This record gives sequence, structure tokens and C-alpha cells, in this order.
Amino acid sequence: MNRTTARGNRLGLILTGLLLLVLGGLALARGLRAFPQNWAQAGEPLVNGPVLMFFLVNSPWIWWAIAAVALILALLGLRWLAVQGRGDSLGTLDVERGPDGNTSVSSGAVTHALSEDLAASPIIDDARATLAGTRQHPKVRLRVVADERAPMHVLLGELGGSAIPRMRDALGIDELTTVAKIGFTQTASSKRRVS
Amino acid sequence: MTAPTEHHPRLDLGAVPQQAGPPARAPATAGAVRAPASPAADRAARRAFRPRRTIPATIAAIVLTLLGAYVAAEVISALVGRPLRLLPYDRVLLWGATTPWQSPQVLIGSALVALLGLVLLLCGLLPGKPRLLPVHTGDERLIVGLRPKSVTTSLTHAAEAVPHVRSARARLRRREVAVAAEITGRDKEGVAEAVRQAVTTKLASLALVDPLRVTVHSTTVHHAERPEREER
Repeated sequence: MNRTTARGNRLGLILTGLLLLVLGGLALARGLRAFPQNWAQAGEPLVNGPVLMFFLVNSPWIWWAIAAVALILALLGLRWLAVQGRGDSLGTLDVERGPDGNTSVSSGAVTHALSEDLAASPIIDDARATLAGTRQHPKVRLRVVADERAPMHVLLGELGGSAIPRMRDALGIDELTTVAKIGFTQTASSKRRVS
Repeated sequence: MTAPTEHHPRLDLGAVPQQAGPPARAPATAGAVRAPASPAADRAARRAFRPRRTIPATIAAIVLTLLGAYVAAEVISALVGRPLRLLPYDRVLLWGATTPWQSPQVLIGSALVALLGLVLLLCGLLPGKPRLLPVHTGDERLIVGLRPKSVTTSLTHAAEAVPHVRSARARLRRREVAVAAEITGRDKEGVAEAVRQAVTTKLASLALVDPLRVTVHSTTVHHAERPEREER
């Protein structure tokens, strides 16, 4: 899942919400006599003469138009649904590009090296790395389980001070963004109630 | 292409970072190091861990898809002369032709639609709880977030390490950490203040981008009720 999906979700929710709010609000307002009664009567049935006339006069094209709008909405909904699971993991990474071709490494090799490198640290209990983003703008996703007693600056030193720069150097990509999610090892409190 | 594993610095696990020192990208030594302020890095970290609103979006997308597909199927099938009639829409039309706008059914229905719209709108507009708490790194290329559960566990442990605290529990609110502590002994206020200090110090060592206020709610537990375990 990437940030584009998050933005799309916000936009979709705002638009759908606004549409429903406006439609529901207008219907409620009409039922509660908020509109001038000579223009939109609250006592009129939902489907009255003018509504029926409108559909009769504009038939059949109005039905084709409704079908088209419904289809578009269904397709939009499907697309919206499909992007929810969209990951942005990367299979291979181009290390060098030249006239004779590209040199690429598999993301497994890169991330395995980084995970091993990090897990060797005494304050890191487990580290898992994956490559994500696009081949032009790759990034590293890290899941780190660290010792909760380790101060953050030491942990950041482990990540940004040695392991990640080493990987940047190895890959020759200086602008490699790393997104690390850190959790702490579940350790028992020094003073636990036994009762 | 495995990079050689270098030696790891000796750690002073109890150390708490002091004020600004050398940049965080320097190899971590036992000295106090704090990431230099970088608003751009902080912004990037906040952005990276914003909630994605997957659940409301998925529900809305499913409903939209089903509704659109149903209407399209009914209308197109009727237009080509083979109506599906998955729902008895003749009866719906009859109901619509006989029910006025002011009928309770319509009023309740439209209120529910408006309410649903409002909920979706708020889901999209409100900032929401971040999935992870962003950490100062001072480097735009290094975005670090802490799991909220890990933060509360760590703060709980910090509070429980204070003498005369029998048990404690830290919870994350929007911009605050609420610590509930069971205290033994007479100096309730003194212990509560010590808990606040311990949690504040621990919080400072986590170097979160968005500062959290610490509030302590203490209750005194008497020895007679439950004997306190011996302090270490």
C-alpha cells in the first residue's frame, strides 16, 4: 500500500460523503417543509406527475444515460477496491544503467543482507527489510524489533549511522529512503505483580 | 554483496539523550546524541504514517460497486427487452408514487443517508490516529515510526520502575499520555510527580516528532488490602 492509495481513499470518502450528505439533507429538507410549498411540496409523493413525465418524455435515452452512469460508478468502485491491496514491493533493483544494459540485483539479496546486518546488533532482536517503491525511486521498508531499554539515539545510530549507509554504498543509490517501523521486545517489567 | 558487519558500539542501556550533540548520522557512540532538528524530515515522517482509512474506503467501494452494477444490470436488461427483476421495482415505484416526502419512512431514510454521508465525510477529513508515532531522525531519507503499543509498554515500564509504584498503565490519547498508577505509601503527590518525571524522561528519550503531554492519575493502595512486593 502506498501513499497514493491513502490520498485516493480520503478523496473517495470525502466525495461520497458529500454526495450522500447533500442528497439526504435535501430530501430531509423537503419532507420537513424547508422549501417554499408552492415549489416543492412536502405532501407530494416521491414519484409524482412531473417526475413520471420527465422519464416518459426523455425515454429511452435517459435510461441509457442512467445505465452508463451506473456502470461508471461500478467500475470506479471496483478500481477503488482493487487499489486497497496494492502493495509497492519491488522484485529487482537496477544498480547500474549503461549502454550495454542494466545491472540489476534481486531485492531478496539486498534485503537479506540488510536484515542480517541489523540483526547482528546487540539492541536489535529482529529486522526484516523489503524493497518498495518504483525502480526509479526505490525505498527500503524495515520492520525492526528492538530492545526497549536502548535509547532511541543509539537505535537510530544503528540504522542511519551504519547499516543503511552501507547498503546505499553497496547499491550506489544515494537517495534511498528507508521507512522503519520499530517495535520493542516484550520484556517483563522489573516489578510485576504476581497475584 | 553482503556488507561486512562492523563492530557494534558498546551500549549504555540506561543512557538518556541530553541536548543537541553531534549529528545522528555519526556512528553511535556511548555519548549522548540527538538528531538535529529537520522540519522537512519531521514532515516526511508524519506523512508516511498517516492513517490510510482502508476499512471505510473498502466498505464504501464495495457498496458503490454493488449498487452501480445492480442499477446497470437492471436498466440495461430492461432496455434490451429481458428485464432481470432482481428486486420487485414495480412495487418500489408504486410505493414511491403513493408515499409523500413528509412521511416518516422518507424522513428517517433521508436522515440516515445524510448521517452516513456525514460519517464518511468525517472519515475523510479528520486527521485520524497515526499508525505509528513518528520519530525525529534529522534525515529525510530515514523515516522512523514507533508502534503505539511499544511506546505505551515502554512508558508503563518506566512508571513501574519508580519506587512505591505497585502497578502502572500508560495509555496514548491524542496529544497526551495518561498514566494510571497504583501507589503505596503516604506521599501520594511525591510519588505521582516522580512517575510523571520518569515517564517524561523516557518519552524524551524516544524522540517523538509530536510532543505528548504526560498526565498521571494515581490511586493509593493500602498495605492491608494487598501486601506490596518488596522493592528491588
